[in-house]
Amino acid sequence: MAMDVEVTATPTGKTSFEKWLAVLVGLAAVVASLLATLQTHSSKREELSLEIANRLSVAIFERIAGSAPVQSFSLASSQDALTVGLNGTARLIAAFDHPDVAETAVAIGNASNAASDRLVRLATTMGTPPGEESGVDAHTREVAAATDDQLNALVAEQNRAVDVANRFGERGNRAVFGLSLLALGAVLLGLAGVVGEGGAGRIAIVAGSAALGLSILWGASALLV
Amino acid sequence: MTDLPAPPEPPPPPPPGPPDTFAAAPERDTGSRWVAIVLAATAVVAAILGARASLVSSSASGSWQSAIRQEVRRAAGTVEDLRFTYEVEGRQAFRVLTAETLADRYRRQADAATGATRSYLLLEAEAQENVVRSIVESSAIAADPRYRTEDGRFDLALRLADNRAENPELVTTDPDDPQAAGDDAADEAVLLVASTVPVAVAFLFGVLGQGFPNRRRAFLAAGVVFLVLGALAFMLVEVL
Repeated sequence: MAMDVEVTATPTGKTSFEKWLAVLVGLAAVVASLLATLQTHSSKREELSLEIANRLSVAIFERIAGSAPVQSFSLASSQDALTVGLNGTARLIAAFDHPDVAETAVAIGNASNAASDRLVRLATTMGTPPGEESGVDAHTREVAAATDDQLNALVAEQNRAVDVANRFGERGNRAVFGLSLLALGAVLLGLAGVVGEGGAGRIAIVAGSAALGLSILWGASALLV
Repeated sequence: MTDLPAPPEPPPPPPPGPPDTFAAAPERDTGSRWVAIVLAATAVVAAILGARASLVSSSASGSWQSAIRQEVRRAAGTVEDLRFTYEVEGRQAFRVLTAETLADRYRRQADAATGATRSYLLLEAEAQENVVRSIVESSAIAADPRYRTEDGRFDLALRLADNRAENPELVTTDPDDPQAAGDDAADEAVLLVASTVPVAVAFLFGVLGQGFPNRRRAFLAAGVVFLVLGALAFMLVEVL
């Protein structure tokens, strides 16, 4: 004869074992959705921070490598200009020891010194990073004119992004571990439902409850990171 | 008359098996069916939310990776143009300026000199002018009068702008665009996953309706309300 267990269990239709099982299974679903939200948020923030850190690393390198040619040009050209002047001065000094060619040496020395003065000015002007009126795009202007203070600020920002990524990475790891504990608890609750009310079923429901509680605690600990 | 063989014994009735729960189905209250419907609906909505969140999250990751690639691409182009303009073309242009200036100053000195000194100064000036001619032939910036300024120097900024304009796609590349798209997609993915919370609460009420038949109607009503809330949240996230 067919028998409906639901009808014969208790006057209310359910045993306390089944009621607890229903509550715990429902709670497990809610905790799973909360932990999944926490994990998704943490992993996205970690990924975003790492991405920002990567972009800043590129930007720092770009500014170091991009500003160097301008500075290098200015420095090398100024050195060349000063060397022309040094040659002129050296000729003027040497002319004292060679009076037979002194007139020519002095003329060349004076010409070199005059050329040097002009070349130093031109080197300084040409070695100035392009301004807004130059027609160069804003990003290139910013890179060419990068200063040590700006680079230090970018490095600090990049380090901060890495720290944020580490923090959210740890939070995400804890959320994943909480989800793992929750999965274990859900399996145990499912086992309790299959085995039914009895010694094994009670052990399974208690163990499942413990795993559920641990997953909640672990998820809460993620928020403290 | 021969005796006919006795007819075979009818087969014994099958032994009673385990209770057939399906046989009792008609006796079940309709509440259990509603519980099953609510639980199935929560599962379907949760699956849709999860799948959509996964797609959107993947899209966010793709946009962010694209932002990094564009950052690298833009940086490489910028650094190369600056290097070429200032370290190659700029240095060549300055050698031209040096030779030009020396030649000019030698000639000025020659104007005030006489004899062998004058001849030597003119010789030096001509030598420097030969240097200028040699370099100008191989220097794009020195050969183009557009880059010459009124004070006699070369306009390296204008040359840099022209070099940048040769690859306009590198100038217009802006990694902030995919960055913003990735940020938006990531926010959407998180909100989509968060939309599973009311759906999970609907599931909770569904199983409570199964576990507590006396209050099943109230639990099921609450479950349906939260299920609708979850679906509404999903639609809002998708629309906004």
